[in-house]
Amino acid sequence: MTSSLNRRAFNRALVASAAGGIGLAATGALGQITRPPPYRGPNVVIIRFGGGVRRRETIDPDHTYSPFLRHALTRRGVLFSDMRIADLEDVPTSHAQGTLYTLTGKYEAYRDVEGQALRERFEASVPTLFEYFRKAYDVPAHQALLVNGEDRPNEEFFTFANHRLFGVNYRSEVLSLYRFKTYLLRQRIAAGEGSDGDLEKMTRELNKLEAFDYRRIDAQGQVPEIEAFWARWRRFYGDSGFVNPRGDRLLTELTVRAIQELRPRLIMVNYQDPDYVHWGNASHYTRGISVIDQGIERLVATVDADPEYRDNTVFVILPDCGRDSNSLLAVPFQHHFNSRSAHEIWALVFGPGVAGNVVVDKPVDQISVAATVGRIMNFATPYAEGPVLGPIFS
Amino acid sequence: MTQSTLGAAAQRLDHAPSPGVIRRLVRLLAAPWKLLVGSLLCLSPVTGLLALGWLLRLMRRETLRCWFKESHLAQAGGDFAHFAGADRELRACASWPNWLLQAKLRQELADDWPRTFGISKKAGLLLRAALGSLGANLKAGLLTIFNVWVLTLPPCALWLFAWWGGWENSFNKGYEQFAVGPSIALAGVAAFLLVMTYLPLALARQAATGEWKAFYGFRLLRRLIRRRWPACLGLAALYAIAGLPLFAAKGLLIFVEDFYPGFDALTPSEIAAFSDQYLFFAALYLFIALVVLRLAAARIYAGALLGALRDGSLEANEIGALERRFLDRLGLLTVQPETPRHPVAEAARWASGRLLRIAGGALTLALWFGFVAQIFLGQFLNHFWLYWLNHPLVQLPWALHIPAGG
Repeated sequence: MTSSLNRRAFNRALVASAAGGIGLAATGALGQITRPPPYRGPNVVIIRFGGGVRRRETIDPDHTYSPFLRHALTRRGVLFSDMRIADLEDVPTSHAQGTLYTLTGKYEAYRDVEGQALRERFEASVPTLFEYFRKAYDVPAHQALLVNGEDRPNEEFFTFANHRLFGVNYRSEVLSLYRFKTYLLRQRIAAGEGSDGDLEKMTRELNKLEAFDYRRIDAQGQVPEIEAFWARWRRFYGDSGFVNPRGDRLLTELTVRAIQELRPRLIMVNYQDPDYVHWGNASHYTRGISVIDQGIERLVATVDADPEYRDNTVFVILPDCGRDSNSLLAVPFQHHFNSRSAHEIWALVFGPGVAGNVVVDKPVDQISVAATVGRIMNFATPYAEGPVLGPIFS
Repeated sequence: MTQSTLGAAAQRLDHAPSPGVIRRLVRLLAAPWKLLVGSLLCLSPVTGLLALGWLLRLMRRETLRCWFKESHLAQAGGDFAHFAGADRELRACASWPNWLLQAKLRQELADDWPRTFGISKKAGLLLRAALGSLGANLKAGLLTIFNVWVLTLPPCALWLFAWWGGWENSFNKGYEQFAVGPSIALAGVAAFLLVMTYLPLALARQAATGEWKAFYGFRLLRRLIRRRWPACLGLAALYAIAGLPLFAAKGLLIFVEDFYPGFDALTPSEIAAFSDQYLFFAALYLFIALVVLRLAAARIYAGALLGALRDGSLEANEIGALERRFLDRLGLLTVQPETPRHPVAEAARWASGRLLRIAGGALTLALWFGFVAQIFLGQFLNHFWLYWLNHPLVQLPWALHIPAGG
């Protein structure tokens, strides 16, 4: 056991040194030639109103479970009330896919990297917003962030695409319970905490968690700033996982702390809990929406209270997908089966430079969000296929 | 007594007219008519109660018919319908049960009318004649669902609470209690599997004896189930297969916009018309499947009980009074001891029989698990809380739930 651990640690160190050396050399060499300029534009917070939601329970003023979004935030920005996910073959209406359509600006027929059913370990073929952004500007990885929930470990690795001109060097970092758990286990194993049996158990747990990393990039942990973030988190909430907020409230907490401690320039928060309605309890759907709404309220308040972020942050809020409106079912909120309602979403954009109290009811497309964020942050998105959502700038 | 009754019955059969063309035609048309009415009753849980009672009465008829076929009367060319029709106690079993009118109405009135005096009594007689089967179906339905619920509601309630509590806990991320939901669900599954190995034959016994308490003859039924385990295995397979179309009917609704292009543009009345048709075909299938399953269970019970009586492993005083009277009348209460085998052959038979029985028992449980899996998967596709408490092949024959707006 000990020898295998040593060998494993040695191998890791070797790979890390080699990768680090090559990375440093490449960065240094490139840096002398074309160091991108620092970013001085507005911050952008993309909020995935996720787990799939219908217009009725979110932006319909008579039926909303998201009152802050509907009644307060829409006054501050442009509401695209008829955003859609295109009805194309092999373009399903689901969470991982919707997240990648938003992040890349392109509809792709995503397949699991090993062709396994229900795994959804996807790799985009065109760059994500994080890659465009970090290639265009000198922004460190910890300031381009994904904040993820704990139910979908596959989404941990949507941090970069497979495009040859972009890729892993421009990826985002991730804040999630998954990342904290791997951080914690590595720390405890390195510190030799517990008995041999404990160490063996922790190693097994770590291996199990690392096995989710289908892109084989994060075995060495995260950048030092994120590791320091987790160290502070650990000091505050401890090791048990029973003290910190849970579910989508956890994502809000992570994002608030990230804004305060990491000062991200581009951050995407992937809420997800309304999706619990799959299991039949409709109140999980409506409650999940309300929890997200309260999370958004807290994020907006955090930004508004921060002099560096106030008046310098644009929020883009949109669902990953809609949900069914099937009148033949007692719980009509599925979203996997290509129904019209599952293609119907919306988007709300507000912040400096964005018109206020405007509702655009003409059809627009989910893949337009990438180009729009590119325009807001002033970087090109050549592989994003949707047009910029022009009305927000008028 | 036995021989004289048998002789009289045989004599009656000898003189019984063969069924005429009209009678055969009526019988031919009666079956689809009765199936159609049964299907319509399966559209709601309340009317499903009548269908449930009718099915129990059908089981009774089938059990008696199976025994009749084993009798000398049948071998002498006798007809069960005539045999039963000639006996007042069995008259209702001469053909498939009626839905409304009393069975053999003319005969009943011819027997009772001259002996009935007073307007109110005659009115009562007419009322009984007009609604006799309805009452019998209702009574049998109530007694059936009571017994079925006694055994199935506890495990089904465990499922419901496990599902509700488990997902409630998951939604709220109650890591500390994560095991509660799955544990309760597994306990419910285990209990349900055991119940289902027992329930179909218990219903058959309730039907054959005409006594609701006979449903709880655990010891006797256990012996019969062990005796006919291959048939019970087949019955489990039949249930698992019969459940599939219902599972599909439930699940297909989520794909409605795929298999019915333009569905999302239908008006509410058009959607209602669609759902009415969908429900009707689901109910039609359900009722036919129930008839097949109940007939199969009745046959297994009849064969197992008769076999046990014949080889002496069951004594006549252990069975129901009605069963005893009927079997006695048919001369089927005689023990026919098996020829003794060589001890080695007997030991080999015992060992192989035991092994096979264990394997068969495991397979039977696996097949019932397949049935349970359909319930759970169905809930993932199309969730409705009452589906936990009611599977149409087990409890109330209520085909499907489509909300009022659908």
